[in-house]
Amino acid sequence: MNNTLNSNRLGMLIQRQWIEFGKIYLMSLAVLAGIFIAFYGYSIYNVYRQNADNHALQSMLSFRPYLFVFMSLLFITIISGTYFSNLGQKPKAIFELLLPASKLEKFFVAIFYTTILTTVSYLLVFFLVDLGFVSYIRSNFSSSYSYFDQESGREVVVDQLMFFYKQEINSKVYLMTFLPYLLSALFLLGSIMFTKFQYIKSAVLLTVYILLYILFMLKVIQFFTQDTIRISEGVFSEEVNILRVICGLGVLVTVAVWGIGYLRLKEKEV
Amino acid sequence: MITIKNLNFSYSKSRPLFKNLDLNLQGGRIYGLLGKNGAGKSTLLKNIAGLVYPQEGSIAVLGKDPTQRLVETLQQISFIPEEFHLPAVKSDAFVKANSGFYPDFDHSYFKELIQEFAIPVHEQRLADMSYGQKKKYIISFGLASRTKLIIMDEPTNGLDIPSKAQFRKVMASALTDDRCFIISTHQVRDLDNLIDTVIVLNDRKVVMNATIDQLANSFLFRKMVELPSTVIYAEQAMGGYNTISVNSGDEDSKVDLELLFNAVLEQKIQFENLLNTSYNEQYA
Repeated sequence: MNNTLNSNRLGMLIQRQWIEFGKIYLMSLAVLAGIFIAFYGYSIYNVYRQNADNHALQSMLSFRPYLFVFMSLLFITIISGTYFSNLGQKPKAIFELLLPASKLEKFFVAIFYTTILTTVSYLLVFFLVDLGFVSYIRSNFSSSYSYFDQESGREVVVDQLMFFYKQEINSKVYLMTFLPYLLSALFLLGSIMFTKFQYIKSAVLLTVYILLYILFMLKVIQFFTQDTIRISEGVFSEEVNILRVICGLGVLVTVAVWGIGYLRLKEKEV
Repeated sequence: MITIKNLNFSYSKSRPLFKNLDLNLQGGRIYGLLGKNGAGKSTLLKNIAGLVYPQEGSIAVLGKDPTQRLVETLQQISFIPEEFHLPAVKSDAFVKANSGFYPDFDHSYFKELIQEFAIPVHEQRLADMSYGQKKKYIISFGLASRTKLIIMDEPTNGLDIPSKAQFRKVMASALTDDRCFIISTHQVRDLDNLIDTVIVLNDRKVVMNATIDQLANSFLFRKMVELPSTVIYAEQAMGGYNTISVNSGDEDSKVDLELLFNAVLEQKIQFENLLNTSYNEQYA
């Protein structure tokens, strides 16, 4: 086991990786923070321009969920898709492959950087930017209004400028949290397999695959369901059950793609 | 230390690089791997280090299959490639990040080598150094790792004349009975007085694997004004010819590696036979 997985070597690998990867990583985080700041800044500017009417306030932060999801997928795929790009460059690859650490340790460190660290740092940057801007907005505008609810007979307070981390999230959304990790696993595999333009090649291949898969599935579903009617209320009549199955399959596929990535790393030649 | 049996390797099916190649390398030796451009010197080194996989045959390095890339095997291999990359960090950070992977890394020896090669590690980041300085740095790191196998691909490329002399001196002093150095080069003069065994690759196989002593005992390397019939190979030089002839009278001469290399490539069959005959006669 000492030869395959050693905590001391794992620690050294993480440290060593930071020397090469750290600066680029921090720069990407800075760019990410810049993009978030630009969105929030533009949004506040618009509110000021429209004299902070109620409609402007309501729509001021509506971009957040879209920005959060889009940028998270972009960030995690970029980090994963470039992580093993060194292996495509002979002068770097020889040192990486001959570094006395096991393949499993090298792969675990890759998982650490592309998923754990990326998730934590992304959430941290997004929430910090959100916290800063929303605090500023709340100090300049009236964040809440109240009305009397006739049905319950109580006063309801609506907070229009809630911090992002405090917002209620539909429980179905949690069933899709495997998606960034599945994409991360796929782009990590691409960064091992391709020797040049790893990110672009992975993205193009994945897009083509998804398109073909959708076309294929449409045809299959059409073939089986054309001129038929549903006569029973099965378990899949509820949307949440379908999402649960997708989530389960997504987790399995993610682990499988990581497995393939590990095998490809093991067999990598220079 | 290294046993290669029946190695077959090719990058493309139409052009095999090695066919049924056999080779045995022992500890306590500095091997000079010679060959024309494209003969497969670098590829053979990569096969030994486990960076590429043979199509057929087997390679054992310290008793293990190098393609497995086991930690215990990697801890005993230092590979200094012709092209390499050093990060934009100071030497201390690089050593701190990498030396821990080599259990026998000798920090004081590393400092000695850095001083010997006069590498400006305190003033510059590694990435900012000149190619020659980087090369000396990476050679120093490889030697200080105290690995049993040191593989160098064109190590003297980019070194200035004093550095080449320093390189020879350092390498000679670093050799111990349990270590094996393999140096691939096409600049054979740089390895003068350093290597003790010559391996020549040509036409998909090893066409010569002989120690310098064997070669000196078997052949006479002389400069002659006229060519006698006993000469088996000659090249025109200033004021005569550089020649190789059979050493039938136990005479001493310095092995001219460049001449030998050219002779092997041009007359390899006759030359190989002569070496084998002479070697067999002496050691049978």
